[in-house]
Amino acid sequence: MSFINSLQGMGGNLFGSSKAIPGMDKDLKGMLEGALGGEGKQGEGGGMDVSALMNNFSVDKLQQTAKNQMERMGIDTSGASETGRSIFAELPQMSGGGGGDSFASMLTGLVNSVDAKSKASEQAAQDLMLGKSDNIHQAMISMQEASISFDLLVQVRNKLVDSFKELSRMQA
Amino acid sequence: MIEGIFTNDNYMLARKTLDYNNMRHEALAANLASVEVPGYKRMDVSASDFQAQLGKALQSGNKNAMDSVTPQISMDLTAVSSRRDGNNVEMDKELMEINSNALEYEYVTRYINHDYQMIRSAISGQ
Amino acid sequence: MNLIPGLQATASALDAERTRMNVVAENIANAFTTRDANGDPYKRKIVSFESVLANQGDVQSGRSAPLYKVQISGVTQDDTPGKIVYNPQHPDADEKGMVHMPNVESSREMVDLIISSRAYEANLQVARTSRQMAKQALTIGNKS
Repeated sequence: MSFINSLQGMGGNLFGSSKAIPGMDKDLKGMLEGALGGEGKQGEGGGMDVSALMNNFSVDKLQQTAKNQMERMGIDTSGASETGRSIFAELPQMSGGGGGDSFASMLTGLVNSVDAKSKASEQAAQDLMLGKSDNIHQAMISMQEASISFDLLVQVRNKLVDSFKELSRMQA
Repeated sequence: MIEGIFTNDNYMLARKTLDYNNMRHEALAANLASVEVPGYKRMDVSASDFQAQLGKALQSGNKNAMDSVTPQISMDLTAVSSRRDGNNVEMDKELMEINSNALEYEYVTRYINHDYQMIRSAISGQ
Repeated sequence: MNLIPGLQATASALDAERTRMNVVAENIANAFTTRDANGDPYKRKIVSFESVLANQGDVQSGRSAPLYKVQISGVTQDDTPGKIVYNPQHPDADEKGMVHMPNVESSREMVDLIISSRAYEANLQVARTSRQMAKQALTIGNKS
């Protein structure tokens, strides 16, 4: 499925490995870039390196920024940072500076399993159409599973793009 | 992450039950088709066997064990023949079984639809 | 594409029952035919059914037993002699005025017709249910 492949390429680009981009379909690439609001292009052109941004993203830094902001506004932050730390401590892979890596692999895993689901659904549809199987309900089920997984992926992607936009605004 | 969505116990149970209902319909339809064939013996999918196996797999908590349970068509040894031609299919009973089986199938598809709707609203947040 | 479960068997049964009804109709229609193409009285025809393999059984797909469909094994002639009626005016009467009538008994044929049409209707009902099931399967994922 070329759409998923191209999404996977996007993921790789976002998180440091720059291998998958060349195979990307022209139209889909444009579509994705449109959806991203042009950030993809910027990242490629080197104007803003997404992976560097992701590596910079650490909870400590986030908290520091927030703390600075709040101090500037004259709010007492002595208690707040404690709570923040204890919440984030429960997300071990995100609390370190190198958190981008395992997050990237998690995302790649997500993309791969969505791809597997859609391949399974395509196989079921093909078997049905070629008369190799007469199990419509299983074909319908794998179709729905593929579509739900894809929905999930799209939603995760949307949230990521949103948070990326948020982050880039904070940096500026 | 994706797998977690589709390995919930009841969902897997429903998928297997659809297989069972579909196969049972095939068997019952074949029985009714052969109602006038001398010497034909009726086939069925044993509900108790299948459900016991599913229950066991469910309790073991092993998702693969659940996947490997398949309903089996076999000759119905409990049916007795009251006809002179040795055929033990009773048309009315068969029709009734077919109807209730189809209703079960409808229920299970609705259950699965409901599951999908819940997942979809969880994903979209609407 | 075979979307409707169990349709093969049902279709074969509908086919077989329809053929049987055709033959019964032929018998009734010819209940008084005293001369066929060979000059003999009409002989009653009997349809017999047999099972043929529809689905080879194999344990992996869950069919540890094969499924059968119905097929017409043959249309045979009933050679029992028919009634002999005294009717000297009849063109087919022999020199003693006796006419050899066909061996068709209308009442028996009617019983066969009723059994056959009941089986046909039952199978038609199954075909409807099968279709309903297939449609139900296609609604998987629809918003209800």
